Amino acid sequence: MNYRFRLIRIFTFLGGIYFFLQYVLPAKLGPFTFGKYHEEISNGFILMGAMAVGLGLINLLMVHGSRLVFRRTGWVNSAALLLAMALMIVITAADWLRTQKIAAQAAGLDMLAQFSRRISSDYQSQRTDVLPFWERNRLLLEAGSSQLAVVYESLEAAANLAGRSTDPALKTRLSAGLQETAAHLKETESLLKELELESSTASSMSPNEDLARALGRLQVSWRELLGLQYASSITRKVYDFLYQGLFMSLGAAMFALLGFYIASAAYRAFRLRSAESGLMMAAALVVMLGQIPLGVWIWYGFPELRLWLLQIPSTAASRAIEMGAAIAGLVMAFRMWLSIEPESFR
Amino acid sequence: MGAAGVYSDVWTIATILVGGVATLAIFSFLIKENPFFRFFEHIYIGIAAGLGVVVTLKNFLWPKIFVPLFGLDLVRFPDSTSAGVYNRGFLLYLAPMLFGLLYYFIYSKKYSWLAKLVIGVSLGASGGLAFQGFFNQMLPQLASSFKPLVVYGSEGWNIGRSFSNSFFVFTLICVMYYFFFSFRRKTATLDKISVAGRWLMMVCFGAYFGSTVMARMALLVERLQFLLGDWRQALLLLVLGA
Amino acid sequence: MKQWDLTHIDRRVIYLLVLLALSIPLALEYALKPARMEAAERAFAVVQDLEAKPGELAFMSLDFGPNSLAENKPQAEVVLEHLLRKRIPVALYSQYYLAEPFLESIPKTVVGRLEKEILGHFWEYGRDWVNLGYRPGGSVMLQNIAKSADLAELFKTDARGNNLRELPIFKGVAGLESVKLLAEFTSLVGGLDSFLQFFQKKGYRPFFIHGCTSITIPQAFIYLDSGQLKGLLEGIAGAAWYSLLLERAYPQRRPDAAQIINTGLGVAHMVVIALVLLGNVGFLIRGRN
Repeated sequence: MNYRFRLIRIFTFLGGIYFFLQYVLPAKLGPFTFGKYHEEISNGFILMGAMAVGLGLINLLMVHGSRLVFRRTGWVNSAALLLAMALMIVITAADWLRTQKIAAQAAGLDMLAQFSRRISSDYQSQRTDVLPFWERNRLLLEAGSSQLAVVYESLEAAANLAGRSTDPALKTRLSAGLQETAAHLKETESLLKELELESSTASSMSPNEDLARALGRLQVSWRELLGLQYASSITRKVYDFLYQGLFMSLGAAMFALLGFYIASAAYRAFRLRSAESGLMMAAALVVMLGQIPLGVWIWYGFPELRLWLLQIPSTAASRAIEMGAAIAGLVMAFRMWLSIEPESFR
Repeated sequence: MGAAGVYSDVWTIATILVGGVATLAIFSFLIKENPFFRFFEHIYIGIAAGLGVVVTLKNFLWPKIFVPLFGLDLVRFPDSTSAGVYNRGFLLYLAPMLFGLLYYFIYSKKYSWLAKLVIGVSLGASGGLAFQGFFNQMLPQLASSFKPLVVYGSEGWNIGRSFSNSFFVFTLICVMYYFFFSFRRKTATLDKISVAGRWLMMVCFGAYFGSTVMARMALLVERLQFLLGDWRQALLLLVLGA
Repeated sequence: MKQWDLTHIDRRVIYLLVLLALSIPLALEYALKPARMEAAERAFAVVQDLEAKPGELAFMSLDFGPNSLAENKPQAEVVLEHLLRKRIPVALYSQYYLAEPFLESIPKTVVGRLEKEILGHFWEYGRDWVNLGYRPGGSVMLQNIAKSADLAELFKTDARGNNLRELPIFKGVAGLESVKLLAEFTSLVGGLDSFLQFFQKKGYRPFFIHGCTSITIPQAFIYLDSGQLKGLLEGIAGAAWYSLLLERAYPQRRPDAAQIINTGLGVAHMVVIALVLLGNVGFLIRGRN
């Protein structure tokens, strides 16, 4: 059994040693640059933590799943929980896939823009291990034409949506987006026709550079248009129904109960039994009256007094408490890192 | 949520209506615990759990790990050339991925200690980061605590600011001294400093209480504003069919 | 007699009193001028002095969930509105997975309001604002951002899956020095601390304005005093004052709900003060008897 505790202690120490050293050591130690792979190492740590994503899911399935299967008390609520969870996973995944699809469509135009620039740069650097530039331009024209056909189709769909929509704000944005995208589309089409397809030497590669820039502009406006179309889709509406309608309202309401509780607790428990509680109440009164419009109406000086109270005695006392807590936290972190805590991992 | 009075479609109205019903279900707990409250409470937990899983996958695991790992971000051109080459270094991500999977041994009685390895590494990382965090956060605090006790302005001695700064330093010292429990207070003066620290902390706690009232009440006021504003309008739309 | 004992009023009667007292100003949509919040004025001045330069952007972190949306959401909306009015590109980000949907819904609401107010002007996704999404990792991720020399390479894609290099907002953006302003809105314990600790590099720290829930106001003030925070929005009251400052700076701006909620909040405070006094009066009478 001892080897287990020893192993856990070693791993705990190794977990912290990188971050400790990268802070205390200089960035460059001879030929060695300490932070060169910082992003990759950090991603590794985050990835390790992110693998725990399924733990909560499994736990809920075990507890509520067994309640549902064996029809124990409260199985209806457990069924509601599991159904809500499954629905949210499906809808969020559908939302993700849809946005990925839009990104991939827009990325198609970016790929063509990069290809166009690559043709130009390869010609200028006289690269010989690739196809002749006019052959590549022909492939670019083919791919560009089929991509622009996809853009045309989506413009039709957007125009239909603009016609059907009863939301004036959406109609305005769609109309503006359609106009802009159509203009960029026309520009890109005409630039595609100017590509050098026959000559063995080109006078200049500026058609390719111009085409790359036009494709970039088209990509921005088309992506915005696709995003607007998606925002009115059923997937998005169901997502908003679940998140804004149910989840946000439920969460906000649960914490809103605290408003009632604090009123009840203030009535029942806040008793002025001593001078110290009197001082605390006085400070609380000043702070409360200084932050509300009615307090200003009672006396215009309350906000200034509240500010002074927060800036001077409250800040000083809070700072003292925070500094003490921070030192204690640092000591605790150090003890956990070195596994000095006697109760750790037993 | 749509502005009160402007509802563009059935979905928006349905979203607002269900929000109001959910809010009232939770508020019913104030009378007493009931099945209506329990039902919606379980729905809340279910939605939160479902959201967390997919969001972690889509915002981190997929774009930062799986896409470069499988070379899905390599751009291939129509002439079969590509914009870059596959970086084999991404295969190293498999190590922390497999190590992170040890978390799931927590469900095994015999091998649950393996999960403690991963937890230990996470705690160790937090411990290592704590040094940088402490000095970055606290050193400016220490520096700004040294306030000038006598402040001169363009018109001479600024009594107000001098008093405030002196009171600040006095409060800081008294409160810090109050927490020195390991030190024995041998003189009446030191004892008085400790008592002063306790009194000054009461001012701080009063400020916390006053702020807490605003925090809790803001949550309640927002929900009531939703019920009396957006929800009331949506309900009228449903009932009157306007 | 027990029913006249002021220290033993049924809790449901208290709840009903609170409900009735708050419902009246909210139903009437009564809005009083908010109390002056000097810390919010400082935050306003920081944003007002910013200039939109190529290759620079503002970084907004929304780290709150439904538990504090009443306070943090109006704060995020007013600051985002201010930044968008000044055409300062904004990158939205979150360390908290429950805030993920807010990273889309809040900018969309604000942009919708602005486009309705200023006809013919548009704020485009990818040019004026971008949603970087929720990123797990907490402090480790923030340290990564601070050390990165190329933020587009670090984040790679936005929450919609677009390659950041394709977006105009990230053109010319390098590392942390391209981030001129950090605005963080949170109720999470340790949320503010992790930004204070790690969102900086040697010789550079962006202007930091913070929107906190009212509970953490006294704690946030210690960082305002030390200069680690340049501005602070104190709960809903801070958002209401910021909203008023926006109305003064942009006269065509329509008032929002922050001031109505703030007025309702004022009534709520008076109710709590009245209940404390009632309880103590009852306690005093009982003591005398």
